[in-house]
Parts: sequence; structure tokens; C-alpha cells
Amino acid sequence: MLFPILGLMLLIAFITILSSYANNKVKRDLVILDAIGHLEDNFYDIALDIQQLNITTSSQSSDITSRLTKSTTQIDTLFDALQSGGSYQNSADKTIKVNELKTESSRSELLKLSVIWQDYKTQLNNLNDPVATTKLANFVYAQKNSISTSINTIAADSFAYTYRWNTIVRYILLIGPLLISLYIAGLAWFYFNRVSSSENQLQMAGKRSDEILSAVNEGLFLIDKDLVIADEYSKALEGIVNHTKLAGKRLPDILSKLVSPKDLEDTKTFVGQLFSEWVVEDLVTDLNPLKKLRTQVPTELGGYEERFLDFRFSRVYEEDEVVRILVSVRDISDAVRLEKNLESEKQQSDRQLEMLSTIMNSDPNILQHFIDSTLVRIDNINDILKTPGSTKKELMNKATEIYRELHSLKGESSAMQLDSFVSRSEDAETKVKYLIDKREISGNEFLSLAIDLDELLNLTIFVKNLTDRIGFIGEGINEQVNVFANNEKPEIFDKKLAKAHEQLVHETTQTKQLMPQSAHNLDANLDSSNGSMAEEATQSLNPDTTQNIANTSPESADSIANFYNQFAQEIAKRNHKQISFQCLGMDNVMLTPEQVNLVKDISIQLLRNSIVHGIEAPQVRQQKDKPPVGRVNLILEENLNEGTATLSIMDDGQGIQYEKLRQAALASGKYHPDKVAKWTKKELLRLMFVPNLSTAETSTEDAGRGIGMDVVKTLVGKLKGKLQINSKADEYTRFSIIFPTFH
Amino acid sequence: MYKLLIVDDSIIIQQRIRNIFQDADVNIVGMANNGVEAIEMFEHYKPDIITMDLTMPQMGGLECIQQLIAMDKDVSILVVSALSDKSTGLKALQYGARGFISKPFDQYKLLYALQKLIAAKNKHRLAQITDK
Repeated sequence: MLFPILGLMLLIAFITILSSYANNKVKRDLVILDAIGHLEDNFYDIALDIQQLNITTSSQSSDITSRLTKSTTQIDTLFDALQSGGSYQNSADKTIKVNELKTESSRSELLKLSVIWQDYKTQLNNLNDPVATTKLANFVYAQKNSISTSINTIAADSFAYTYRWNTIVRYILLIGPLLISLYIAGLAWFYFNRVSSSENQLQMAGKRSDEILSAVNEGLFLIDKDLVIADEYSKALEGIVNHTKLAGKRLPDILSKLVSPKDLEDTKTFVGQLFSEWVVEDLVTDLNPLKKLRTQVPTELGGYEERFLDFRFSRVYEEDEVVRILVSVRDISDAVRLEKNLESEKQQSDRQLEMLSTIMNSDPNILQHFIDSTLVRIDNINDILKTPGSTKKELMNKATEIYRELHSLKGESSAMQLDSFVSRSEDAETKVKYLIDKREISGNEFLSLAIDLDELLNLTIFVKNLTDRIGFIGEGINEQVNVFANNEKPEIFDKKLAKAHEQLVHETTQTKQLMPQSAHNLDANLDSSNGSMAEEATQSLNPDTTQNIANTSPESADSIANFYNQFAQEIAKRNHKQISFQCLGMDNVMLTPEQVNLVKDISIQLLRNSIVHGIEAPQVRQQKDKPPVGRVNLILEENLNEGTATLSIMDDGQGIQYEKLRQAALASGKYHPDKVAKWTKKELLRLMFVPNLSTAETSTEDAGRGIGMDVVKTLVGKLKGKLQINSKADEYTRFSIIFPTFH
Repeated sequence: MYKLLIVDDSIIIQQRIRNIFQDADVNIVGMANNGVEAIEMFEHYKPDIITMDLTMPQMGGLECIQQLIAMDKDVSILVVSALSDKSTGLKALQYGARGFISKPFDQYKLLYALQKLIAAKNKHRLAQITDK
């Protein structure tokens, strides 16, 4: 800005100087013109005076003479001045400075004039007689024209010179302002252009930031100290916070629908603290109440959708002072979901690891037994599902049978502390339970069970593979199992194979009992027992294995007792009970594998019953003057003379709760209250075996499904046995199952 | 070098913070087990930076911060506390703490916080000097 103004001033100064110089020139020439005029006047005066002197009397002549003298002096002065510069007195007695004549023509004319003047002057000085005067008068007359011509020439010359400069001045005066105007116009144009281009740039910048704000998929906005949202914010913001026209609104008003009142208060405090210079911005992000904000957002369909929003706050400074806060909001729901998925995958692998550690800590024989029986159960359930049945009763029966299998599986896996099995079988159990309770079953509804079943099978195979890989199974009696589990997906559903396997186990057990040392006999026995599968199995049974079978026996008996003990203690711990458990004679009685399984299932059910329903909590027992640790016995004994065996489970708990049974009957609404009120103990006991009638307050892993005794009844039926119940209030309960050992 | 005081009722946390700051550009002048000890040590050592737990016996962090700020408004307090409730942390800021690090913390987070505090402290001092 400074240089254009300086330029303008210089231009004005230049024009002023130029015009004043030209003006001076004009003025000087005007003075010369004046001087020439004056010269002419004096010549004229002299001529006039001489003529007067010629005709006047001498009395007047002194006046004229003095005028002549004056004119003469004047002309001399003027000649000097015009010739070489000087000054003269004008008619008003004012001293005028005159410059010498410059042009050659003027100077020569002046010279001519001065020659005439010298004559003139000589004659003037000798005006002492009238003759001289007349002679001078004649001379003046004769010279009049040449004097006038010379003066005119000089004057014209001077005038031409003056005129030229005058024209220059005129031009300067005309062109100067024009130049100045042009300069100013140029400047104006330049500045206007510059302003408009910067305005354009500003507009472009504005447009670009608008583009950014409309394209960015993050919510971006500024808030001031009063938490008011600034006019410019990103388009995505409206969608993210589900709110339109946000400019000028207060942030708390927008958030009130998304966050709890407490979080809203915290947000206000948090933002307030960000405006305080004292707080270090980077060190308060942990306190941001809107970090990973979980919120419910209404969907187009009218429901609500869970979304996670992430608000970030950053200070905006203006001259070292926090003036605004830039807030960015992102919808991080997808990221959070992904994180959750990863978390659940991690949990799953943790579970597998946990399972691995369970497996490592389990007794190999029990584990093998669990794997076998689980495979059989899954096979059973599959068979049940395959069995055709379309009537409501058939479907209901199917559901109930599946339920029993799942229930047993759950019981066993909880005894093994295989939590993945427990949760999976519980899920399936809950599904079936729902179907049973609904009492409206269609065949299709079993379909979803196939998935659970498949999962359970996968889990079993997983455990199987793990145990195989760890390598502590695969010796002794268990070797046989590998025959049909070595394939990745064992053909468990192949009945023939399973049967062959069962037979094999059976035969081996017999062999073990009868001829422990004879490998040859064992082989023979196996050969004769059953078809091709048995042969295949035999190939893996080398003589060494036979030795192992014999050795396994005592360890196995110990393991069975351990298994029950582990199971019983586990249930007690889960139900906050304390027990001492004793297991006797479980391996003393020779049973078929089927019987072994049935005895095991019954034992598991009844043990669970005794601990959950029979044994009281330690405090309760102490109130009753009983030791806090309850006793539970599981005994299998053979009644040799009768060809039967007795399985008994006894606890020193509270005895059968007849009144609870009565209340459960009333609560079920299935019976007439008057009849229920009159029921005897024996009639009430029968209720224990009614499906779906539970006395437990809540449903847990161990109790409350109202199915346990129902299962026991069926299992006892399969054993062709009889069930006896003895009980005394606050003293004991004993379940005895007497069944034939003949096979 | 700035002087630093560690306030935490857990000796394990005290040691951990001390170990992290061992090679940092700071002089650890003391470790207090609660607010009362913190104030005694503050009067004695006049530390510039304090790491402060919030839940402590005898005198908790919030009250301690209030008293310390009343004694010296320029002391830089960094709250290092388990974050059960954000409003307690925010309260600490309102009382004059300069930052908050939630437990559990890793060494980088704590060292970063120290660096930030020292920078803020330097800036503050510079501003005070130029004002004078």
C-alpha cells in the first residue's frame, strides 16, 4: 500500500515541477515581451517629444528635455537588460528582472536596433539648436519603420517562444491530471482485482470445507463454553446422533436422549474442565464419559438397535486461549461387535484349554468311559430322532426320551467337570424341556436339536482326539475303542459297528473275569463271538494288551470309586453342602456292560438326589444337632443265592419331605386339592416318579427339572429291578434297587 | 529437575510407579500411604508433581487434593486411580488435579503423562516469568 501512494505522490510532484518550470518559462518571456513593449513605448515617447520640441517654445523645452533624458536612460537600461540580462523600472516604478534574449533572430534585430539607437542617442545629445531638432525629427521619422519592424520581429519571436511554452504548460495541465487519474484508476483496478481474488479464494476455501463436512463420515462439530453447537458441522453428525438442525442447539439437549442423566452431568463437567487451561488435555481422556458410549437408537421398523458411539474432544486455541472444543463422533458399533466376537472366540479357546486341563487331570479310564457312553447317548438320541412318529403322543414320548438322555449326559459331564459339555447339553435340554412343557410338538421342532447334537458330537470327538494325542489312553482295554474312533467322524450312528463294539467290551470283560492270564483263550473267544468287526478289533489286541487288561482291573475299580467321589463332592460343593462319601462294591459284582451303564446312570441320578434334596446345609444340620458333614453311601452288593444284586444309596439327611411333595402336587394343578389333602405317604411317594413335578425351588444344573426320579424309574425298569424307598424324617433316606444279575 | 511425590495406599503400586520413573527426568522425594502423610511430606519436601490415588484410608485423594491446592495452587497433581466412577475423577479435576490416569496403567502411559506434566509445568513457569 505504501509504494503505490509514494508513486502517486512522486507523479504529482513531477507534474507540479514540470508545470511550474514551463510556467516560469512562459512568465520570463512575458517579461521580455513587456520589456520590448516598454522599449517601443520609450521610442515612441522620444519621437513624440522631439516632434513637440520642434514646434514648442523654449519655455516648455526643459520639461521635454528631462522626459527625453529619462526615456534615453530607460532605453539604455532596456538594451542592456535585453542584451545580457538585467532589470529595469517599469512605468509604475517597479523593478522588473529581464533575461537576455535567446534566439539568434531576436538578438540580430536588437543589434540593428541598437545601431540605430546609437545614431539616435548621438543626435539627442546635440539638441542645442532647432536645426538639430528638425534633423532628428526627420531622422526619427525616417527610422520609424525600421525601429518598428525590428521591435515587431523581436516581439513576434518572443511571442512564438512564449506561445510554445504556453502550449507545453497547457499540455502538462491537461496530461498531468489525466496521468494521475489513470494511475489512480490503475491502482483501483489492481486492488479491486486483488480483493476479489482473495474473496474468491475465501469462497473456495469455504466451499471446500463445506465439501469436507458433507463427505466425512464422522460427526464433526464445534462447541463453545456454553456447549452450543456452531453453525458448521458435518452432515454425518445428524445421522449418528439421530437429530436434525443442530446449529445453535446445546449439546446436552442433543445427548439427553442418548445418555443417562449421570453421564450427561459428567459430560458437562468434562467439557467444562477442558476449557480450564490448568487441566492437561492429553491426560483426561480416561475421564471422557462419552468414550465408547453404548446407546439405543430407534430403527426405521420401530424397534431399537444397540449402537456404540465414540466421542472425542479436542481443544481449539485462539492466541493461547481455549475458545472452542472440536468434537468428533464415530459410530464404532461394528468395531465393538468385532471385538466382542474376538472375545467370544477367545473365550471358546479358553474353554477348550480349560477342557484340556480337565482332561489332563482326569482318570484316563473314567474319561474313556465318559467318551464311550457319550457316543452311545448321542447315537441313542439320533436313533430316537430317526424313529418315525407323528402322533402327539409319539412325539411327546420321543421328546421325553431325548430329554432323559440329555439329562444324564449333563449329569455325567458335570461330574467330569467338562463345562462345555454341561452348557451345551443344558442348552439342548432346555429346548426339549420347552417342547415338553408346550405340549404342542410338531416333528419339525426337533430339527434344531440336530445342531446341538452335532456340537456335542464334535465336542466328544474333540475330547477324544485330545486324549488320543496326549497319549495316555490307548493302552489296555481302551485300545478297542480306537477301532471305531480312529476315523475323524466315527461311524457312531452305524448300529452294527456300535453293537460289535459293545459285544467286544462284553466279551473282554468276561474274559478278564474268567481267564485273566490266557491270551489264547481271549483271542478264541473274540473270534467266535461276532462277525467281521470283532475280527478287526482283534487285530489291535495283541498278547501284550491282554496283560494290560489284567493289570487294569484293580486300578479300574479304584477309578470307579474315585469317579463317584469326584462327582458327589462336585455336586455338594455346587450346592454348598458338605459330605463324606463312601463307595463300596461297585466292581465286585459281575454285570453286563448294559447293566453297568444302567447302574451308573441310576447311581448318578440318586446320588444327585441325595445330595441336593436329602443332605441339609451345614448350618441346618448343626441346628438339628447333626454333624455338619453329611454322609452318603453308594453300595453294590451281590445276593449270591438269589442271583440278584442290590444297589443302595443312603444319606443321613432330612428324609422324604412328604409335605413338599403334597405342595408340589397342589402347585402343579394336575390334581384335585381335596384328594391331595387326603393322600397317604405311600401315595405321596408315587408323586416322586411323576415327570415334570419338582420340589426344588429353582432349576439348577443338579435339580429342579422334575425329571430325575422319572428317569430312575425307567432305568430300574430296564434293569428289570425293583425300587424300595426307606426314609425317616431328619434321619435318613435309602433307595434300594434289587435286580437280577442273570444275563 | 522437578520433585515428585507418590501417594498411594498400595506399596506395590508405589514401587511400580517409582520403578517406572526411576530413569525419568524427575526426582522422587517421597512416597506417602495416605492423604495425611501426603500433606506432611508436601510441607517438608515441597514437591512440584504429585501422583495421587483417590481411595485411601485416613484421608482420601479428593480431600487431599483440595488441601494441597489450598497450600500451593501451582502444584501439579496427576490422579492415578482405578476408574469405577468417572464423576469422582472429574471431581478431582474440579478440585485442581491436572490429569487422570486409570489403573491398571502401563509404564508408557505413565511416562507420557509425566512428560506432559513437565511440559505444562515449564510453560506455566515461563508464563509466570514473562508476566513479571
